[in-house]
Order: sequence, then C-alpha cells, then structure tokens
Amino acid sequence: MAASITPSHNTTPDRTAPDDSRATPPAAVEITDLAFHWPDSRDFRLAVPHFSLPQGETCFLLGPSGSGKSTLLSLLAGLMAPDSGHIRLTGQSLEQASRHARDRFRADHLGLIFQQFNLVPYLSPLANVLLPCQFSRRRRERAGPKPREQALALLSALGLDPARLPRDVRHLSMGQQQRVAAARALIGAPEIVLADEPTSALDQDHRDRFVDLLLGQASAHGASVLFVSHDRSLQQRFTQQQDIRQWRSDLPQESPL
Amino acid sequence: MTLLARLKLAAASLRHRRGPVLLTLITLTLSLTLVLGVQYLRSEVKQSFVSTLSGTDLIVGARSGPMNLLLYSVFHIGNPTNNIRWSSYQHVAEQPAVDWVVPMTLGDAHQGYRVIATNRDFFERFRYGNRHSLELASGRAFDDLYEVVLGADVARNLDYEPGDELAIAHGGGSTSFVNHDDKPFRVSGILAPTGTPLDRTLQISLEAFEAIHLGWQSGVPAPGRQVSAEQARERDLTPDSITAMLVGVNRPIMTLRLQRELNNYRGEPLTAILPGATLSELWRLMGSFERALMVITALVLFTSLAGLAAVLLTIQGSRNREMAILRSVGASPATVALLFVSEALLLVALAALLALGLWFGGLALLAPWLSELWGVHIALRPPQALELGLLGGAMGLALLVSLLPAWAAYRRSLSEGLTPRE
Repeated sequence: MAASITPSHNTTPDRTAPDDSRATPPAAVEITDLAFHWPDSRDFRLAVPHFSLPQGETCFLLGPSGSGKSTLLSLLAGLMAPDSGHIRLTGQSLEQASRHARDRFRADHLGLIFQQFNLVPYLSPLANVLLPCQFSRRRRERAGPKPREQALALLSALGLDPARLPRDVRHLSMGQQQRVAAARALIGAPEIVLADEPTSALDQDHRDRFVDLLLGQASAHGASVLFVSHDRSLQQRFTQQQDIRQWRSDLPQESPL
Repeated sequence: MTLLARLKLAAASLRHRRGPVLLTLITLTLSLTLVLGVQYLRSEVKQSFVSTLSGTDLIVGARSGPMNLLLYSVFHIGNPTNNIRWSSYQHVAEQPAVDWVVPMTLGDAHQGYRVIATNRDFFERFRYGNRHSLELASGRAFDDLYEVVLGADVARNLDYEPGDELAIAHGGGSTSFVNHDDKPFRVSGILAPTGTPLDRTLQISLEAFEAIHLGWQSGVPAPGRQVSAEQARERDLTPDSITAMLVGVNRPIMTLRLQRELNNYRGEPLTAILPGATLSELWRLMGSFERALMVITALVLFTSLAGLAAVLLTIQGSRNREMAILRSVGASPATVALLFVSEALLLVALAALLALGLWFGGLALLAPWLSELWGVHIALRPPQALELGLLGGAMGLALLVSLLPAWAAYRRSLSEGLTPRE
C-alpha cells in the first residue's frame, strides 16, 4: 500500500489532505502555523501554531485591547491574508482563494458581530437582519422559504418584539442593537459566528443575558461561536478558552489560562 | 445582490442623508435646467431666426450688400440704399422661371413701426417658420385704398382694433415732423403673432403709398400741390418704383440661375439674394453670442458638479462604519464602491427628470404669458436628441465625479477591513 497516497494514520495533522467528512465533520475553524505582521509595524507579530474549533462548539478568546484580536478576526473573515500558514473554515482553505471568493465565503458561512455600531443606520432593524440574505444566496435559501419570518423569529428568540421595535435603528438601546446584530449574524444559519467584544458596551445584566441568548440561538442553529472579549467572567460559558497573547510572538509569554 | 436590492439600498441611504442630498439635488436640478434651457433657446432662437422668412426663393432689391438687403427688407433694420424701377419689377414678373412676385415699398412708419406698402399677394405668399402662412387674428386684409393691416405687436402695443383710424408718418423714425395726417387710414385687420419682425410692421397697398405721397417732392409736401384724399382716388396710382420684391420660382432648381441673371440685369443694378443662405450667414455672424451662452452654461454645470463632488466626499468620510458593516455581511469592495456610484446615479437621474419637468412645465405655463407680455414667442416642442444628449452627458459627468468618493471607499474598504480607524 502506498502510504504517500492514503496515509493510514496521522500523528501530526495533515495540512493538505481533505478532511474525511464522513468520519468526523471538519472543524469550523482550523488554524495552522499562521504568521502575520502589519507592514508598517515592527512591534506586532501574530503567530498561531495551531488552533481548532470543532463545528458546533464555542470558544472564548481572551484579549485585552490592542492584543491583536481584531487582526485575527479580520484574517479569519478573509479580509486580510496571512503572511504564511493556513486557515481552514468548515474544511475549506481560503489562502489560495481570490478576494472575490473570500467575500463570497464570508457572506455564505460567517456571521459577524462588532463591539458597537453594528447596524446600517438607514435600514430598519428587520432590514438589517435580512442584509446577509441579500448578499448570499446560500444564506437566503437556508433562511427558509420566507427569510423575513426567520428574521422575525430570531428577533423574538433574542428577546426583541419586532412589532414594537422602532423603525429607526438609532432609536434602539445598545443592548437592542447588539441583539439585532446577533440576529443578523445567525440568519441563514452560517457555520461560524465571529463576535468581536459584542458585550463591552453593555452593563452586567444585559451582558449576561446577551451571551445566554447568543449562545442559545447559536446552538439552536448549529453555529460555532468564536467570542473575543477581555471580560474573563464570561469565559466559563464556552466550551473552549484561549488567550490571544499566547500567539503574540513579539510579547513575553504569560502563563496560559 | 440583485440590482433592485442595490438600488433600494442606495435610495435608503440617500433618504437617510436627505439634508445635504436635497440641497445637492436642488443645485443639480437648477444647473441641468439651465443647460437644457440654454440649448433649447439656442435652437429655438436660431430656428425662428433662420426661418424669419421661408417659402421665398429670392429677395431682389437695388444693388447693395446681401446683408443690407436682408436687414432692411426682412428685419426692417437700416434703410434701403435705393429703389428699383417699376419696370424692373415687371421684367422679373415676366420671367418664365418666376412663379410669383410680391413688391414691397418701404420708407414710412407709424409711431416707430415701419410700414410695408405691398399688394394683397403679400398675405398669400409671405411664409415664416415651417412654411406657416399669415393669418388674420381679426378683420381682413386691406381692400379700400386707405386701409391698413397691423402686425400683432403694433396692434397690442398701440391698442388698436379694426375700425380704428391712424395717420402714417413720413420717414422711418419714431418721431416725425411730417405726417400724412390729411389721409388717415382705417385698420381693416390685425395679423396673428408670427414671432418675426413682421409683427412690428403695418401693411398698406402700394397704391395707398402712392396716394399719400402725391404732391410731394424730395420728401416734403410741395406747397400748393396738395391732393385731397378723395381727389387721390381719381389719379393713376401705379408706382414708379418699389424698394424690394419677394420672388418665388416655379422649380427650385431655377433659383440659382435666376439669381445670377438678376444680378447681371442690364436695365439697372439689382441684387438678388437667397434668404435662407443669407439668414444663416447672419446667424453665424452672431455666433459669439451663442458661444458665450455655452461657456456660461458649462461654468454653471462645472460649479454644480464640484458641489456634488464635495457633498459626496463629505458624506463618504462619515460612512466608514457603514462600509465595514456591509463588508462584514459579504459585500465586496466593488459592491461598496457601486453603492456610492448608484447613489450618485439616482441623484443625477432624479435631477435630470426634475430639470425636464421644470423646463417643459415652466415653458408650457409661461409661454403664453411671455408671448402676451413681452412679445417673445417660444414654441413648445418635445425635447430634441441634442438636448437629451446634453442631459445624458451631464449625467455622465456627474457619474465620473461620483467615482472619486467611490474609489476612496473602495481603497478604504480594501485596506481597513472590519475595523475602520475613524
């Protein structure tokens, strides 16, 4: 048997062979040997030897501000390309993909939630939630025959009464805005939700409730969640915890979490 | 993303920023209206100028420059250099190539409005614009010796109606010390407005012109030789001379040959001109007026486009967050740039539609008033290809201008990813 063609066992993860999806579904996020630096900055180096988030699981990524979490998320979202290394999302490798294909992939498979100002100011809350269905046919199809109904259901499930929401998103409270953003990240069941400090602008009560609702709905829709925050008190709700500083090759390494 | 969804997004974005957008829309609309209006008036004025006289193949007068002949015979500006003999008129009328001849004698006026002495054929043969013939708004053409027909402006400005009496002054000026008030004229009819210099003239018969000058010598009444109005009727009123004549030919192909023959006429020195060609030549002389209009229009358009660029760039500067959100849900940098372009396109298209409505609506409303009050006749007609083309060109320029912020947005969304640095 030619071992070079079909390796029967792997002690180290094979980076090029396709995952055998029948045996184990591909990880939602898999990073190997990733290196990145900003061209204009010598003080910032990101190096991720290996990181894996299995499909359906949730990860808490601890990172104080300036630690490079937004950079990592931009790399994961395909908005920037790493210097070297590999990023696989749902088993698909994106480093060879064109910019257009990465935009396409992001529209189809990723939901993003920012720290604040998540909503397009001139669209109603419902139109904001439905936005991904406009850019992605896959998301539209996965949102059911009537995406509008799924959007309304998501808003309700996230504790918002769609009938009583103001039409102008600027009249929403911060907590309401973040929940609308969560509904937008989840509509059309993308495999991965990337959340960049979505609770930092919320008070304690709203923060806990938001994380509960987000994780509950993500689980209901089968989405994996990568949740970046500097707030350690949230980390126990996630199946996996990581500290982004362990990947900063230019920083002295602290003890891991 | 479907085209409709893109346009809806762009429309929602414009609605959101309605303050500056509305101001830009107003400036754009006004400047596009100006572009449209200038072009419209230019072509209308040229059209009405070049067709001040139509259907006449040749104008014949005493030997002079073609411009001069045109100016005094058609525009009633300046004075004839000389008269031509009645025998020359008869000679022309006898030419086999000639279909009709209308004689004209000039030289008198009424309160500054010039008098054309002619015959009844004038009302039949005179054509203007797109071969419009003259129409009487009221009354009828002159029939009796002392009857006069008034141009529309004359009747309106001097408030005459058929049946009124007036005296003709000797000479072409507005104040004259010598009047033919011993032989008053009765208004027999008033012409409908033509938008040509004819509106500012009066028409009497050649015989009437002779009658009021009986007993005159060297431009003044000779003492002791006065002839009363009734005595004049008994005299032979065949004129000795006329000022000019309008000639129609049997076949258009004969026109140039007849012109050459008349210019070489041995009986006396004549000048025959083609009215259309001379009118076009005269229009070209006034070309700098046209160019000045175009330059002003271009400047106005340029200013409003610069304003558009400023507004779009300002708006774009405050939209980084929105761009990051659109990028995060899968919009490509090109889609973001296209959003900016389609916003500008919507804005300019709306401005162009408003400009069309404003111009043609305004013209429909104001044309009767302009004609009534100022005697300015602007015909309402559908927009021409050139006007629509100009509007399209202005839209194209606006689109080019909008590429500037779109390009900035494109660059920004490429380099800044999801975390815009405000």
